[in-house]
Amino acid sequence: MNRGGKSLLIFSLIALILIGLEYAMEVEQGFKEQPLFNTALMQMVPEKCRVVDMSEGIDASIEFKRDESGNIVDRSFVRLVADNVYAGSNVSYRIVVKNISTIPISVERCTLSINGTSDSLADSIYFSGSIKIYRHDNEYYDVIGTFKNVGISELADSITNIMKYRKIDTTEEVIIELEQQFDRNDSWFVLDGELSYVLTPVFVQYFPSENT
Amino acid sequence: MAVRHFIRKYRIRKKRRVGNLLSIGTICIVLVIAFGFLGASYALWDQPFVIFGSINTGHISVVVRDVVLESSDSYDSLSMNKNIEDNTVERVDMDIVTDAYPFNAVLVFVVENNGTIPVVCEGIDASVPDSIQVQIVDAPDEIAVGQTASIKVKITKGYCKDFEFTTFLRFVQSIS
Repeated sequence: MNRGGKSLLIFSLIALILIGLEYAMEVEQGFKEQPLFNTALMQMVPEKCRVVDMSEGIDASIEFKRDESGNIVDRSFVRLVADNVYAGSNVSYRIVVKNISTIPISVERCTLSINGTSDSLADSIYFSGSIKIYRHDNEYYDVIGTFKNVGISELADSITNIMKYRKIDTTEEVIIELEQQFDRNDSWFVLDGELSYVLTPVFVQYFPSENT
Repeated sequence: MAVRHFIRKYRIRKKRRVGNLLSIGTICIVLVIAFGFLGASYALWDQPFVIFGSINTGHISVVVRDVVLESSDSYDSLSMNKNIEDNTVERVDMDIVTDAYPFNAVLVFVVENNGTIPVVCEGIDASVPDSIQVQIVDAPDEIAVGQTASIKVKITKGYCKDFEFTTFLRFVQSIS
């Protein structure tokens, strides 16, 4: 093997070892100290998340995962609850997420999965809302997109189309205002049903395109 | 001589070629693995969020608390027995002796909304036998949750003996 090939091989082996070490650190579960395992990019701001509006008679709330003491243990999970909904009712939520990393962030994709016993309920629910980014220490905000009367099966695509390639700088906050509306046609709306959905936006490091 | 020279040259070239292949092949494999792990590490450098939505609908439940005879045509005798279980009227037996033909009576059903959403009385079940006429005379526009309301029902029947029928009031969600 010639000298150049040997050098390249050694370099590759060193690179492989370093990457392997980094991979091992990423999947390690035993780290207790936050600085050693600080891979969180975005975090909910629970004190700013709230139910904005709801129809009469509905029980709506926002819940987080808490420990026995009541402290929030997972700021990447939020549960939007709406009980006793009926045809023509609506519930509005406000979800605030903050970039707590040291790098700009963007949304790569948004996925949605639906679980439930009522197919007619899934067909009867529509979503409207807007997505804003508060910039410069909340001095002003940009409305980066809105959506109206979107079915549950199209919600993920709508949010992805709005947020993809949008830059979220460090300390900036993203406000998702989400309104759930239920069809007024009560012949479609079957009572005594339940439905749950999981909406998962995936945040990644922001890489600008070549043109910018 | 030329042949020997050629073979020797070929053997050396062949050895060199195999050696080169080994070094280049090894480097390629190592680089592929390295970039594979690089990709995996990059893929890990993301953070999924979870927005979990939970929706439960309300339910309709209306019970009859009482049945009262408000008015009727003249009769010789009339008795009304109500079968009440858990404060709910399950059955009403009316025994009427009358010369009126047909006989009309207005009953008041006192109902309570036990469900979780406001309701409205939509009408009487359509499967009532043709020999008897049952119609709603008066009903509220809406019965709120926990509210008690009166629904007036007019019954018209010709001559009969030991006549039995079952019907029910239809309640649906009230959309204001």
